[in-house]
Amino acid sequence: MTDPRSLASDAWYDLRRRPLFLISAGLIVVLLVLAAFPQLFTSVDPSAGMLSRSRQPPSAAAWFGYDVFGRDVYARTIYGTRVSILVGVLATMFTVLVGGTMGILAGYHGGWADNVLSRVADVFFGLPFVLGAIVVLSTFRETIGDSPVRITALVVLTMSALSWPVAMRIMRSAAIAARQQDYVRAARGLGAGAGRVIWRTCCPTAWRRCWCTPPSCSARSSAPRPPCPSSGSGCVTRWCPGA
Amino acid sequence: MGRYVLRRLLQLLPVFVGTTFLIYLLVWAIPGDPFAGKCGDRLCPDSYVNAMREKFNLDDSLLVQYGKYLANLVQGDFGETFSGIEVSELIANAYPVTLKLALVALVIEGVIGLVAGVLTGLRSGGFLDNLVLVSTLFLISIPVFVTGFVLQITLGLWWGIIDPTVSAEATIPELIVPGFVLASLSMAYVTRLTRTSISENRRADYIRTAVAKGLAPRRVVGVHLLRNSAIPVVTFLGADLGALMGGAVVTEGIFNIRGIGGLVFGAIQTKEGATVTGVVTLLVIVYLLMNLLVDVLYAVLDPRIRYD
Repeated sequence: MTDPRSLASDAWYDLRRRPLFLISAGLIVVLLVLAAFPQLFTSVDPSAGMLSRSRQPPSAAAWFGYDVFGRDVYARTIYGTRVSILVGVLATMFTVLVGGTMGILAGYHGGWADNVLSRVADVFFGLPFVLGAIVVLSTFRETIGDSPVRITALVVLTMSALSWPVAMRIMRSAAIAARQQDYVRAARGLGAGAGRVIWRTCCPTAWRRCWCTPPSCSARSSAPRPPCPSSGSGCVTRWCPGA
Repeated sequence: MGRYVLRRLLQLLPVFVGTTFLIYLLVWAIPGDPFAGKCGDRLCPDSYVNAMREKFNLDDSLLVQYGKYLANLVQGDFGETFSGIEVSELIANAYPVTLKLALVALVIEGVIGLVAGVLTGLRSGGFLDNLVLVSTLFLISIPVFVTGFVLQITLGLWWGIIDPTVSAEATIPELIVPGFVLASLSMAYVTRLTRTSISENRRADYIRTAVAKGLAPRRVVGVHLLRNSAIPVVTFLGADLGALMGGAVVTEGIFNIRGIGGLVFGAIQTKEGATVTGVVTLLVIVYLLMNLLVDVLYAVLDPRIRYD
């Protein structure tokens, strides 16, 4: 008999024997280091333009070549990773938090709360993502100013506002299913209030399903405006001059 | 069934009003004066601005404006652009093109996704399965604008197999490559969804019964297995038509297709609120009706589901 392991160490024991997990974890760590310390990977200033080297093809000096303004594309990609990862992670987090909370409230309470919340979710779900995002971003473009933090925040909020219904629906059905489970009934039978039941019994099972389903949005469909380099913006600015 | 459909249609009303109101609010909140640059190098005379503001109800409160817009919309009047073109005319020109593009994309993703999903779902773990898993992962991680530009440059400019841009007629053969680009992401989802669904149902009791009573493998897979595995896929495809039409903006921009994407993008930049609201309203209607259709299809595909 070996010592009983906790759930977390059990999972860790299982995971570190899988090559797929090790490779993916390695890649994620590299990307995180890239996002945190871009200067480790390139010593070129991503916004230093020089028109004499405009549109030069890749070379030993600039692995990805130079763009129209003669800026090093490799350096811009490296520096752009941070914004893309940040937007992706934050947007997913907001989406799951807002959608999850709404979904669990709707699913657990049912009745008119469920009806109202579901219809509100339908309204946001009906808006096409790309068009909705373009409209929202151009509406608030002027008011938001030029600070990179505020632009990123606007992009994150826009994406979460348009995609939270996905998380809400998943969470709602998970909560409805969880409500019928014996352990949830037992908790209610013992006199636990709605808040406690949701937090301690429904949540752990239902949240897992929510996190495991990636929302439709991700960093790659976002593109902050040109001043802040992002992996996506380089491509997008080509077809939509205003982006 | 009839009562169910009626109830669902009634439920659509608040959603429809909510969505159109939201989009109306956002579009008219875009900062800037739509009449500022309308008269060339000089300022617009006050009489013109006043007449236009009067015509488009811009002096009313937003709620009243929306009410008037909705009242016209219900009678089939989409309003006019600032230069006096009927929005319905613009939409009538652009909408069929996008619809065609979205349908081509839907067919491509349905056919390729289902075939790949069924093949891999029936024989999981082999070379084909891994190939499909890796290639769908590849498709999921590449953004549409990258697939679009890469295909446009390689197929269109380097190899000359297709025209790099689509002509104004937008015939079906021309739309195959743009449709593929538009469908690429959903195609990967359809494949994975079908694969999971097939490999789950493959071990179901009714499949064992069908095999045991001596049915040909083709019939077991084609009728018993496919029909039951199709339910999640049909849901996805149905909801996806709306998403494809709304998401076509990028693909249309790349391949220069004269669809609603370009129309809306231009309209947003020139603050033509009526056009934006009109197009998005139509998209919302498509989306809501497709969802209803999918729910009705459930009952057809799975006799256990009844709505009364």
